[in-house]
Amino acid sequence: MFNSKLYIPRAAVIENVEELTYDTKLYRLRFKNHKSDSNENDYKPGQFVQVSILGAGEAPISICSSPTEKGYFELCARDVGLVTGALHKLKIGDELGIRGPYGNSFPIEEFGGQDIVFIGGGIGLAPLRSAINFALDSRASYGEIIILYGARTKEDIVFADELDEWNRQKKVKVFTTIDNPQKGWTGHVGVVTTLLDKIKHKFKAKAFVCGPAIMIHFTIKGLLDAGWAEENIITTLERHMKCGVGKCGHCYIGGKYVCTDGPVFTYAQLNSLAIEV
Amino acid sequence: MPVISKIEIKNASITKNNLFALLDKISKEKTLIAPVRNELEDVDFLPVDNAAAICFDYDNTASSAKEFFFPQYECMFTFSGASNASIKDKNGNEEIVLFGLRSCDVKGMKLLDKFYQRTFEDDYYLSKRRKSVIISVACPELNEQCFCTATETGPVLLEGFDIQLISTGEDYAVQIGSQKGLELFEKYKRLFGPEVAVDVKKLLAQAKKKEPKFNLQKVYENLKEDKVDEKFWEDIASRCQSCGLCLFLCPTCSCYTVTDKDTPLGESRRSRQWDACYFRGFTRMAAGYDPIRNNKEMIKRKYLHKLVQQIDEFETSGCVGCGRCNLVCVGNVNWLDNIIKIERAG
Repeated sequence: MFNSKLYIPRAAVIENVEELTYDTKLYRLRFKNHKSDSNENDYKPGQFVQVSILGAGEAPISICSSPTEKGYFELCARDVGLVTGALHKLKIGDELGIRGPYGNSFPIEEFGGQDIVFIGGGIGLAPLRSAINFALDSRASYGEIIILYGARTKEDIVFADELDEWNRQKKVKVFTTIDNPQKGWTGHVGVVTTLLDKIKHKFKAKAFVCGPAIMIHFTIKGLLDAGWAEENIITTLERHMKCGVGKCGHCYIGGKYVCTDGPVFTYAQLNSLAIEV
Repeated sequence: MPVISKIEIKNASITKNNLFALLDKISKEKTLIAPVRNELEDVDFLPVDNAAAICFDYDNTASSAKEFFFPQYECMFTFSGASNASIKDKNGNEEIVLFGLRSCDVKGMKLLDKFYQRTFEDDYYLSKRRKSVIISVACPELNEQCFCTATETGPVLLEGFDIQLISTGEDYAVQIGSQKGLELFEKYKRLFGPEVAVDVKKLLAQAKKKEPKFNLQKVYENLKEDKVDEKFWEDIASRCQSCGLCLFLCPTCSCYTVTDKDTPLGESRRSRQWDACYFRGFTRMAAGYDPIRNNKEMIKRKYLHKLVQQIDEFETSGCVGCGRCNLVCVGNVNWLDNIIKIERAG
């Protein structure tokens, strides 16, 4: 754990802020004080932290860097609420609080040697980015990696440079789409499910899906239609959370706490819990 | 560290006069919380500084005792400005003795003990529990509002108590079930009388002879197998006013929200306070998406939580049969009647 007391956040300093879109920023963080048993990269892809801004409150945010990167971790936040609004006002050198890392993680290490598909919608690419960079940092351990990414408009695309960079790597293919035609956009047009044709021959691959609820719903439907097994579809759920540690009850669904039992679930698990996506 | 270190049950007895003397002594030496009848004729738990203030003649208290361990509003820490170094942890507490809990409420507390220890240990709750001693009083008979024989949470406890008093008519049989209970007993030993053995199993069997109001196993199965008509849930959803009172009064409800607030003294507080899954917005996220799409899903979630999922996880019903929720509902949603309807659905 980054923090030693359950509800007391640990101070971290913003090392860098990058504007990814008009409403989304990427924060690079380093802890203010260091201890031997817990460093910045002491987490797994798919885990999240409770970001605390004293006076504004706390919100759960996925870690979007890979633990293979040492000395810092990164969070990506869209300005949508009280806490993310306060976060967006912070600058390089400012301090915030961190609790975590919480939740289970993407079982990416279990899938060595296999082909992997990542399907992201909007800012849903952020948690996937952790697993993508983790896999690419031990490139030889995995088969082909295909990334499908959809954003509403070209202005909503996050990590645009990295999408290009991933696409240049060997045995990695990236397909990006925007919902509607737009001036200056020559790429694919249509919601992300219109890209599923690109991967239908890969129905034995593991598929990691993250994005808005409606995107997850139709992507999973598309994958199932294309022959994917329920166990091979892995998604991560977003829920309102106050504590992150299975106590406040807000994320409770189907007998599970998304914060401690999740946020990563296979579609087979969601089905058995009667959780609709 | 366990909340309760169980010991082999030790039997004793106490006369009514000596119980009064015991509580009077405790009230002078420690913080004693006991049932008190207020001017509105409600009986509720309050701190007392003498035994004469205690109400001994009551069915059950208006609220459960959960607020002494999970306060309705609790400051977690204070801070000033944006610096995390200014944080002062406010998790401090004193020893308390609670007198007069009914068996159902002790069972509810046991469930909360397990809940606060699962996954991560919540020290704000657990440190208060570890420092407390509970003297519970078994119900002589089932009260009109109650159904603990159906939920198997009373009216007497087989185990899991610190000290349990069972009325023998004039006086009380005393059972000591934990290390903390034993320490309290040893301290005031001279007020206790000789061993009076009580056959709790027999008492429970007798209580159960009066027809339990429903069969919990059947209710569990019907909910788990989704045998209940959707119209049933729609009807409850249409009458629930989302006031949350049933959940605030429920001995096993533990949801909370967290707020940061400035105080006039200049220091700011991060506090937690009771929240309820019947409040609309409980599951709504910052960008507006709400995975619980309507009141029907909201209602159903509570029934499944208490009558299926908590039984699966804690092997004890999330409803302890105290009946408090039925007394307060402004929409005339009767939890007990609804459970009986669920039982008959299959």
